[in-house]
Amino acid sequence: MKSIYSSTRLIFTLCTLITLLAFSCQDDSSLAEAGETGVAGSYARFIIVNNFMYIVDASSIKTFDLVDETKPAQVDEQIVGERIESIFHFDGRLFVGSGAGLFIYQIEANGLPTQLSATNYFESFETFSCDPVAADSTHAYVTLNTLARIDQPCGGIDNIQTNELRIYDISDLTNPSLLAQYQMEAPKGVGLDGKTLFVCDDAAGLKIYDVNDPLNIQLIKQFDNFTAFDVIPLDGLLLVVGPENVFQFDYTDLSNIQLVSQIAYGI
Amino acid sequence: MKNLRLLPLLLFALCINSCEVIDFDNPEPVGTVEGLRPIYTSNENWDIISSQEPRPIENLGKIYYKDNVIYVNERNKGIHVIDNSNPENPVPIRFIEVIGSEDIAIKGNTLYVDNVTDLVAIDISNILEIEVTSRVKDLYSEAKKTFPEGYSGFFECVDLANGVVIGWEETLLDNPNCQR
Repeated sequence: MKSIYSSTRLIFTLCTLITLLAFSCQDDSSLAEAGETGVAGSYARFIIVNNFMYIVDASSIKTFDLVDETKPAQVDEQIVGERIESIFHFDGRLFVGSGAGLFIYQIEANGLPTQLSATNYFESFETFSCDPVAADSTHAYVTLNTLARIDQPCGGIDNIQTNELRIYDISDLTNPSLLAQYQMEAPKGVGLDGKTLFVCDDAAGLKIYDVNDPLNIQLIKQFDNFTAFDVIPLDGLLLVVGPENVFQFDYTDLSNIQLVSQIAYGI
Repeated sequence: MKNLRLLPLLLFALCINSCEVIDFDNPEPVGTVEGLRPIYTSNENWDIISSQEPRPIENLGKIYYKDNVIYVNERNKGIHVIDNSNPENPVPIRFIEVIGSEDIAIKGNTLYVDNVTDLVAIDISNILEIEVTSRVKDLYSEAKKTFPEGYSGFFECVDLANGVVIGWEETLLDNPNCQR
């Protein structure tokens, strides 16, 4: 009896400690992350950087001041082009993907974007595909697909038949140059963590590449038993969304990428 | 007899009315073609946003992550809020109903989402009792309401009498009258 009592007490004490720890952690994190922003997938049209939110619609980029985060106030609007689809942020630069090209902006000290370059994917800005983008300081990774879907505003019958991953050298942000093109099924969302690239290739599933050599990227792993739409890499944990599932993968060990969990259709 | 004389005028008036919504008049019937059909909300309260019990996943769109919580869009309907403190066991905790929504971003305790053509800021510090703190009208142009933006092809003409257009879906159309 005594031993049961003491073990119960031990468990109680442990629980109390854990609860206290949990609460203190929560307090710390809420303090540290007050006003912080989260992480978006590559199809995002809303991106928050410091006290500003950048929103792309079909043709323009709008800047909202979030000094009072409860009341976004528009402070700027610039025409970008047609069929704008997504916006991505890296290190003070905004990468706007459209059906026709890639637009790179620098965020100025006043929070407003200034265009550094406009790179058309095809001979002109008059032909279209669909393309989210991910980037780091040296390269931009663009997926182009022609699978017309209404949830992709760039879609339509004018689409040029292109399904590929493109890698641009952006070491000169004012003059991106095309380095390589890789054939895909119908690539959509794209995510980057260091030199590991995650590509959602629609019904071909999730593809994970080593992109250390942009001219010769290496497929590390492919999961082809589901349809992948977009990804968020979170430092070892990968969120993947398909039309009917949310998957999570552990990629801390790239030679042993594991499915962690999934939430499926109807659940 | 007197009434009959008004018939052509009546027909003309009818035609004017029905032709008003036609974006592109097809002189020849095109038969059954692939195209887009508007999704209407007959709900006049499309701008009411509420935190509800979790609901099943049907057709997911964009995804967002912050502080161990996954936010994933149920296309045109709202946001699944999923507690991911343990990635091995993600737990749906709420569904924020936002009609005509696609995009999500969060700063601090404020979630930003599109609601048909508006931008809405929502205080989510208490996910059970959320509060809309601001609404920017017409973030997106009127275009979303009357034709599928950025799309080229056939579509069913919008009849605003059916309600506000919250999205478009691919379908087979029988002799559609609208095209872009």
